[in-house]
Amino acid sequence: MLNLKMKLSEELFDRVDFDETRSEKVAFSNYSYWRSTVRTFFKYKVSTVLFVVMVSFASFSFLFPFIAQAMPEWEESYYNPNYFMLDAGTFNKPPSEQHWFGTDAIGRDIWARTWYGTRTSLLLGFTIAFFDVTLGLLAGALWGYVKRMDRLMTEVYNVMTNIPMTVYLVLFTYILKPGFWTIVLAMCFTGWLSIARFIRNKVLAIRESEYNIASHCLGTPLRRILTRNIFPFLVSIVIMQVALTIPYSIGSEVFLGFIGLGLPVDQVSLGNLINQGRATFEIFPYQLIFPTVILSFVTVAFYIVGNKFADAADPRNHV
Amino acid sequence: MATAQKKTPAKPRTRMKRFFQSYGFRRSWQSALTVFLVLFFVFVLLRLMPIEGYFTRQDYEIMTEAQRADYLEENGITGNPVVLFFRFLGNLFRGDLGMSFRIQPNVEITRILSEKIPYSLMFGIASMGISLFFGFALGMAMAHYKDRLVDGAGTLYVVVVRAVPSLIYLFLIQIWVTGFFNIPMTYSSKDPSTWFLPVISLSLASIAWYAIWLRRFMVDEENKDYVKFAKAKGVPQKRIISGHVLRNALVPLAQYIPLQLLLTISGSLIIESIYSIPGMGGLLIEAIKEKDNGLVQSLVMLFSVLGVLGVYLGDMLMLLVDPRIKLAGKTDGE
Amino acid sequence: MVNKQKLLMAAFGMLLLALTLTGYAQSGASPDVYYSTYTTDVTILKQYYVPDTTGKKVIANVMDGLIENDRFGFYAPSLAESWTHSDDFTVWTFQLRKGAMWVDHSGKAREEVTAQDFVDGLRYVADPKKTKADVSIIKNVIVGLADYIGLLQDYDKNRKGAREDVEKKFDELVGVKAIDRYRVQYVLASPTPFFESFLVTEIFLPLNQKFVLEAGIRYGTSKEYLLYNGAYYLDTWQRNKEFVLVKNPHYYDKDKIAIQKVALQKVADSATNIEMFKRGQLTSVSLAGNQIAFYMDNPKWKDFINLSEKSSVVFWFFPNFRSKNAEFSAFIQQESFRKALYHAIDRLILAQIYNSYDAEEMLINTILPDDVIFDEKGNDYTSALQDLKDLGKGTYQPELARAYFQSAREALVDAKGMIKGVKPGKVKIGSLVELDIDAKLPIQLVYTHGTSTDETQMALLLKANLEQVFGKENLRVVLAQYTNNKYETVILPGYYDLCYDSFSFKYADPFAQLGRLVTGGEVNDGGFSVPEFDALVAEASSKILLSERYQLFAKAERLLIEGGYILPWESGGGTYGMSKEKPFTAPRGGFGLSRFKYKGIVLQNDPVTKDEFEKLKTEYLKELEERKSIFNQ
Repeated sequence: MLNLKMKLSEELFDRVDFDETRSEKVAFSNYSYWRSTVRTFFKYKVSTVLFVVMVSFASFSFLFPFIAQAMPEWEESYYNPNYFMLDAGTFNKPPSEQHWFGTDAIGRDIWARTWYGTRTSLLLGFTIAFFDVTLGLLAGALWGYVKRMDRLMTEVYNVMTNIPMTVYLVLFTYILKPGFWTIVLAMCFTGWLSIARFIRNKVLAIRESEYNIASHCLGTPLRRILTRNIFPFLVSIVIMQVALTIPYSIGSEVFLGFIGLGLPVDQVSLGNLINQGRATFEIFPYQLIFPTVILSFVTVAFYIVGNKFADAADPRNHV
Repeated sequence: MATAQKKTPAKPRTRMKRFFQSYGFRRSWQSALTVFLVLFFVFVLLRLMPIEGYFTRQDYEIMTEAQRADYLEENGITGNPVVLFFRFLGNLFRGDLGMSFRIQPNVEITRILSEKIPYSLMFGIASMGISLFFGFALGMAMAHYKDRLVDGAGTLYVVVVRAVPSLIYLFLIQIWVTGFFNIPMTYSSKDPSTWFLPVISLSLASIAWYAIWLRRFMVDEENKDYVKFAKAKGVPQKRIISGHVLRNALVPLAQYIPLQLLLTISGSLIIESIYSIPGMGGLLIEAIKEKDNGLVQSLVMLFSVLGVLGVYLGDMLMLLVDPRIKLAGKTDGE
Repeated sequence: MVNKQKLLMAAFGMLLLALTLTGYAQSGASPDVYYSTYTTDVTILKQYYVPDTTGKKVIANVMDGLIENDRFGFYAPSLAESWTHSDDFTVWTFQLRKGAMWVDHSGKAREEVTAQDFVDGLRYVADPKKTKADVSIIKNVIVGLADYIGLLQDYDKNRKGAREDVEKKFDELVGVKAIDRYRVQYVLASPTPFFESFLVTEIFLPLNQKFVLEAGIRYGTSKEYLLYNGAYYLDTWQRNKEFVLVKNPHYYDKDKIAIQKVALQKVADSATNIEMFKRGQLTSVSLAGNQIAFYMDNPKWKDFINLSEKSSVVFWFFPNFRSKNAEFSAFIQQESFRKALYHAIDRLILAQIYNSYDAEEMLINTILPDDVIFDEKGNDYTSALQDLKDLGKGTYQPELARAYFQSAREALVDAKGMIKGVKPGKVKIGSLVELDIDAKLPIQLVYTHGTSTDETQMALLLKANLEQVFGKENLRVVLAQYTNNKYETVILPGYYDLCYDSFSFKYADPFAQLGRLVTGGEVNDGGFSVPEFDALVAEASSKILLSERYQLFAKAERLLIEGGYILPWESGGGTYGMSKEKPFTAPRGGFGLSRFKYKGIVLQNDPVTKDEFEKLKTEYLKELEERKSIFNQ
């Protein structure tokens, strides 16, 4: 409230000296992209909880083998997902104190198998995401920035994405043998393209932005433009992509198992466990239920976290 | 005041030049090139497959080496690949897709397709209609009751459908729903009660997709100036939504709808398999597994033509729906 | 907003209503329609090549041959009213019944079935360019057939002249003739008392030449391109969906057929079958391994579970005598090692994967199935091997196995621990696995298996089993997986040390299997050569009196089993199931198509209970004995 009766003292009219540093202080904003992103992300309660779930499940599945192998006589114990006894009495046992998730058709412990399987499936997902995103990033950034590549890349994109994904999956599995790297290869073969296209569109948008044009005018070399102006913006996108690729790759692995082209059955993976459990669902429901529950937690967690992270990374949502 | 300019008919040479430079023509031949490259690529990939797997133990007992070699040659497995490829293209232009020799021996591929496509198409179209309707309804409800129970339930549904592998919940739905309502487990064209469940199952994922899309869109639009202006003007909420927001929501979708519609022909492998629908679903995979090369090529060609056509129609539809877009400037389409 | 919601609710409500109403409108299956399912589809329906059960089920019912098996397993007239044979069993003449018609897919009669149709059928079967067919089993049975096939093969290799000229030679070369319109005669290359068992198979079905020529390349591709002469005709055939067979109104025996319609539906996997049966949508269902124990415990269903008959398919393990794995090949030549393997495999635990309820039932200890061939006195061929049969699961004797292994070891491993005659080095078993041969114990044994869950689990069990018996320092099992076609990619090129396969029994004589196990024989995959066995088989096949013949064959079979050349594993069929089929009304026979016929089957409204089954079984066995004694007089 303006008090008109306020006495105006002389000091108020002292001349202020010009101070360069102070002008910068005014212009300085305390905004850090990453800090803001993180803060916004953890504001959502749901995603925070799921983030914790996701991290704990993932870490547990990676740590479990180490814990298990540290157990005495691990090879001959039920911590070993491949261990079984040649005793038909141990086959297909429902959950009990000794076997928290029960045993499968040849008496292997499903608890151990589920965690080893989660690890394999997550590893598969991370590997696919890694290759997809790395290739996609590099290709996409170049595609977006270097105008001459556009025609060629668009054509390549059209041709390769036009062929149904299943053709690649099946063909590769027949030509090479079914296995971890075959699936990675088949899924990355076109996966990187979608990411590249997405990145390329974002790059195109940035390219026309003023701060980028300014850099260009100032003569900044291409490499510096890429690393300073463009990449940081893309990192958040990368993280989101990685988080969203996990559910997709796990789902694909289950689907591949359904049509008989998944990971070899002697390897433990969530996809294999689920397909095996499905066949005997009516009689031994626990063989499907437990892996499904774990898988659902993992995929749902990654999915929500990925989406919420994308929301949080969007500067429009920042506080 | 502009004077009316006399329009002289363009010279034939310029007319031709304009035709070749026109968007339509350029687009068409680009698409044709894409399809050709796709075919070639798949052709090469198929030739890389191992030759074993055509003969069983009995075939070895019955046929001599010469007879087996004849069989492989007659069916285009061995032989000069270049010759075979151009023969395939030549037949293609005459409308002859050749015959299947493994999946349905001695049956024309066109016949196989014409028997299977209607099923996948019918289910696909019905499912799309349902997904759009229920998806939009759900999306609107979620946006309207944002952050309340409906929104939460909707989000849960979407997350489960998107994140959990479809095989699992589709399989469970089949068992529980058919048991509860006492309807047969498999599809039968004579029994309408078996029609609902496959269509609903097919729609589940798309409903989720449309719902989330619409919700996000509506939330975004709520903050836009034109909506605030309309509110300030006193336009009723219903009219804002139906007249402005929904209409704008359809625009980005328009690009993908024709493509989705056309690709429903490829059928859903899982649903068609568990409900025993004799559609296109598993055909491609089975053809590749059985190494029925002619069928694989025909299918790939069909899907890529549909894909290219779908994208083209999508762009045309976008033109119709969004007057701001002009063809010439369209290189980046996001 | 409110209107939209109301609309939504209304739509949803109507949907629910529709579902419930139609659900209640569902009636149960009526007892004159047989509802069944299948999982493998048929690619083309040519009656001479039916490799899987689905095809067999269809062809058996829409096509009849000269003879069929009745419900006691005896040969009964089908299209042939009566038949005679020469004293030396080389000339067989069949009198066809008059008025048997070929009908089309709408049930309309076309023309009569004549003797010429049987001649045309054999001509068709003999030409691989016309149809695939299991002609190798009859190649040497009918006079001139082997020569004709050889001529065709020569032509296809050299292509001199015109193929039609070669095809014309059939009539003069091959021993099948239509003596008149209703009589067909076969001339055989050697005395064949069991010729009738060939005639119940699909190879001897008739063919309507005129129709086939009209249909051309489309023959067998859809229901319109086939003609039928059996108890049913093919009313519907939709691929990946269903077959519907409808009773043939022109059938000579139509009054004896209780089932008016047969509906076969395609399902994705067998897990759906049991659900459908429980809801009354199927007539019968067979239970897979784990399901048996589950339903035996289930108070609602356990009374309905009964055991079906075993089929004549036998599974056996065969070691590879020409393996590139030098360690294994060195040892497999030793009889003591082979015997060690024979006694080391715990087949009971392997069978758990397929049948956890009654695994021992499935095991078989002979190469030929029992209860399938009988000599002139009515004795089962396998009774000569009764001691082996009685062993049951007792072939598994780990101590004995270790003892045999010890002697093999003493014979082959020298003082320095090196295996004699084996050079160290790396060897590739195809593209499946690479071995590092160090010419020392443990012996590496490559077991090749498929990618399905069952096979993989069985492989893991086998590995644990063998390594436990012999000890990992003596034997190590290396597992290799194949993804493609087993025969072409594994068996033929020999990319295994131990493998198993299924072998069907083609006709009612031990030669059907044993004759193909001689040196270089078609089912001698392992590639062993036992001259004594070859000699016994040759001697046995020259005998005409069945009991003599069988005795010698049994002696030969014993050689192979006791020598560890073939390790019998389990028999096919013999599963538990639930059914509304009245037991023992269906035709039965060890091979051929009759056992797939629905002719003669009577259905009831409710599933057959154990008590009903036992009662009917006793009655049936009594009647069977009576008939057998009449037959033998």
